[in-house]
Amino acid sequence: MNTRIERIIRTTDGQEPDGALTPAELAQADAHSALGALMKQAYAFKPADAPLAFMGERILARARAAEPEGFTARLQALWHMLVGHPVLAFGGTMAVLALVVTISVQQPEKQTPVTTSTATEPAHMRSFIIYDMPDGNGFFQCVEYESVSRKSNGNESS
Amino acid sequence: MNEIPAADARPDEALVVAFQAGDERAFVAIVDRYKQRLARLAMSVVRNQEDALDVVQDAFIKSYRALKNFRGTSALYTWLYRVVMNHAIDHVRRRPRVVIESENDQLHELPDTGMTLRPDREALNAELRTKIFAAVDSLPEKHRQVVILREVEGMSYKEIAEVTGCTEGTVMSRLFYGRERLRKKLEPYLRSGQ
Repeated sequence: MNTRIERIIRTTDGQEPDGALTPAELAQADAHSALGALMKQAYAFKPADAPLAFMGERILARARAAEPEGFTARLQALWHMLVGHPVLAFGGTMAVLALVVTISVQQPEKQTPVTTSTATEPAHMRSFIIYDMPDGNGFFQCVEYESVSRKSNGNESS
Repeated sequence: MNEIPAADARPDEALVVAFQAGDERAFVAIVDRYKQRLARLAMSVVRNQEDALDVVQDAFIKSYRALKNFRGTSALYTWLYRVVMNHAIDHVRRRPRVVIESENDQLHELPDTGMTLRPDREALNAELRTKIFAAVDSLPEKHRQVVILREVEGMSYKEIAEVTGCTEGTVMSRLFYGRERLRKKLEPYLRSGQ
């Protein structure tokens, strides 16, 4: 029996959010909501208008004046990087090769008829139970557990 | 007769197409449309107006070049957010870290650096604002990014995923842990209401 819970969405069906949340979860949801309100107040600064005036035109002028990045410029930058940082270039190449090898080795196994009984190493799983709150802020509970995948040949007693 | 150019009302997609066809005024329209929001985002990260403006301008200049190859796989504004966010984070990384030791730290001086508080928001006292900024600063960069985009910018999980280049599940995970860390650090202020 393979058990894997990816996501459960539970939507509150009334005005009160506590219909789906336990008291502990409700306290956490309230705290998160209050935190969001505090942050909005703390970061409630408005950029001054004057420095932003005609920003588009100024940026256009700067962009036109700057050297355009062309293929040649990119090639030069790559060459400088490789020559200036040979260790980086070597390491990067090895990393790419290692990734290719890893992907090749970790091809998903084909689904074959189960004939043997095996117990795999428990895998650490994390899932989120998402509650849609009436105020629009989603609250989600993080559930962490270990998942054990077991296959049987049908002859085992449960 | 004074002629004030009306704001370009074309949708983002039309502006991008026009710009890619050679109409540079379309790019100016894009900048005008998003400069306030992006400046506010940059200030949320770098918390200095001068630096924020530099970040936004550099990001727009980079966007000017990259927009020519923009294929519309994501919304324009999430793409712009991503560029600005990356620039802001790089800027903070390069900047020497400010250690908050006293209440006279520059973080208190927000109203004096040219930024104004939005009139619809009741001003927090300086100490609380410092605590909040310090708490947000203490988050790992990936958590901080997501928390700011969600709590300050009000973006949806999908939009945050586009900006940060990760899945919605990862966004939720980072947001969850970011909020929990902030909650623990700011618990006395949450309980008392301020």
